[in-house]
Amino acid sequence: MDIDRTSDGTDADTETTEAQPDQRPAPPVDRPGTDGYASRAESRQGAAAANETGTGTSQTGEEIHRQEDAVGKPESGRRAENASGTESTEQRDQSPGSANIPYDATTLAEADVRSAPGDSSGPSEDAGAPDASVPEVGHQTDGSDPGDTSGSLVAVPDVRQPSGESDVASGDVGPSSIPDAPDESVASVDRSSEPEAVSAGDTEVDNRGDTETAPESFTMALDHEDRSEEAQQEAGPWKYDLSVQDVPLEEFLDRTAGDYRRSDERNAAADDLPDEGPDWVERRSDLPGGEELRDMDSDKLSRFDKMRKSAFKKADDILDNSKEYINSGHDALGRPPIGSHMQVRQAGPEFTDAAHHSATIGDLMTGVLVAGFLLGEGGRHIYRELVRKGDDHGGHR
Amino acid sequence: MAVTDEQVATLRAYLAGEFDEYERLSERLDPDVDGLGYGALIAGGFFEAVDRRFAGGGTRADVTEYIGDVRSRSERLSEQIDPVVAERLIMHSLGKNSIDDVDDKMVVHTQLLLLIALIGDEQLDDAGLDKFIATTRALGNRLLS
Repeated sequence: MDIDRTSDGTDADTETTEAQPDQRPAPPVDRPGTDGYASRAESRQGAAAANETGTGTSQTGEEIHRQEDAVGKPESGRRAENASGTESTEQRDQSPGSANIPYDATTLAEADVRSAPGDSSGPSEDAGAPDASVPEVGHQTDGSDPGDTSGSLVAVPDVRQPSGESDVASGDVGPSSIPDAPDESVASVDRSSEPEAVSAGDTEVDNRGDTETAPESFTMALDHEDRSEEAQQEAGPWKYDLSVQDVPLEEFLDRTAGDYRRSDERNAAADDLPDEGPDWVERRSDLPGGEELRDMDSDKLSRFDKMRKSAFKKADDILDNSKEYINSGHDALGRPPIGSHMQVRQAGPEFTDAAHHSATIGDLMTGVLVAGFLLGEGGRHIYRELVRKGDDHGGHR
Repeated sequence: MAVTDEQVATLRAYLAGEFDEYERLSERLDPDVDGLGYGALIAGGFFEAVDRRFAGGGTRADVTEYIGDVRSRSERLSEQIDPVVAERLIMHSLGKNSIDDVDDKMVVHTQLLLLIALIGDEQLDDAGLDKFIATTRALGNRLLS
C-alpha cells in the first residue's frame, strides 16, 4: 500500500518500526562469523524474539520465510540486484501488487491503519531502533557475508514495515484477525489518527475490488479535504477529481458537455453576453400605456386573452411573400389591382349605342311591316270615304 | 419582445392602401426576427376589427354573409379565402369555436385578408386609422407579453 504513503522507502521503514520504540529492544548486531558475535541463526532468533516481545505482532522465522517465498525471490537474488542499501530500501517499499502478491482487502485496511500514525505523529517520533536498523541493512547488504543467505532477513526491518504486506503474502491474517488482535500499536493508531480518515479508508478498500484505483481516489479525497477553505474555493465545488479511462467523470457521463465546454463558440458566445440584463425600464416604454386597453370592457379582454394562445401565429410567411398580398389588398379594398385597367363607375344614366347607318334585315322587315300597316290603314280609310259618299248620293235620289 | 415601430408602420401602410409604402417597409422587415411581432400585430388588429363589426349583436348569418361579400369582391379573394376557416376565425374572435386544428399559415393569412377588408369597409380617415392602429399595437403587445 504505497498509495497512501507519500514518504520514501526510509520513511516507510520508520513508519512500521516507530510504533513502539521504547518497548521493543533493538535486535542484536548481526555479524555472523565474527568472534564475539552471534551466528546468523542466533541473530535471527534474537530478532524474532525482540519483535515478538515488542509488539505482539511479531513474525517468526517461518513467517519470514513465507514472506520471502511470497515475494518469489530469495534474499540473495534481491541482494544481487540491489547495488546499495538505499535501493534495497526502495524495493522493500514497493506495493504488494507490484510483487504479484494476492490482494486481501482486510489486510490492506489494516495496513492503512498502521500507516496512519506515521502520517499523524510525524517522523520525529521515529527515532530509536528503526533508524538504527537502517545502516545495519546497508551493512549487511554490502556483502559482509554474501554466502550466508539464511538469516539475511533478520536485520531487514521490512519484516515489520509492511506488516500488512507480509500478512497479505502469507495469508495468515484474515478479516477476523483485525478486531481480535490486541495490538497496542494498532490501538494507539486508532486513538491518534482521525476517525474519518480511517473509516473512509476502510470503506474504500472494502467496497472496491480494484486495488489500484480505489486507494488513489481515496488519497485524493483526503488531500482535498485537508486543503484550506481558500484552496477548496479555488478548486471549485467538486470534492473529488474522479476520472474514468483518463476522462473526467463529468465528461464521461456527458460527452457533449465536455465538447461544448471546450468549444470556441461557447467562449465567444459568453464574451458576447452583456454584463447586465435588458433595460426593462426602456422596454416598458415600448409597451402601451394602457389607455387603449383600459377602455375595453372585461368581456372583450377576456375574449382576447382566450384567443391569444390559438390565434397568435408567426407571420414570417406573410413577410416572405408580402408582394402577393398587395393585389389581394387591392381587391379587399375594392380598388383596382396594380397593372390592371382603371375601371371607373359613373353615377349618371347609361346610354345605348347610336344606330348604325346601314339598313339591316330587321330594319327592312320593320319598314315593310310599318309600310304595310300604313297602306292598309290608308286603304281602309279611303274605302270608308267612298262608301259614305255613295250613300249620300243614293239618299238624295 | 414588443411590437416595433417598423412593424406598426408596415401594417398601417397596408391597411391604408398605401401599397408602395407597404412594399418598401415590408422589405425592411426580417421574417425571422419580425415575424412574431408582426403576427401579433395582425392578430390584435383582426380581433379589434371583428369586435367593432360583429360584437354589437352580429349573428353567425351576418358573419357568413360578410365572408361571402368579401370573397365576391374578386376571383383572387375567392380563391385565397377559405369560407369555413374565415367563419371559424371570426367566431373564435367572438369567443366561440376553436381553431386549434387550423394551420398556422392559414390562420395569419386569412386574418390579414379579412382585416384589410373590414378596415376598408369602415372608411376610416387618418385619425380613425391611427386610433385603430394604436389599439392594435396595444393588443399585439399584450399577446407578446
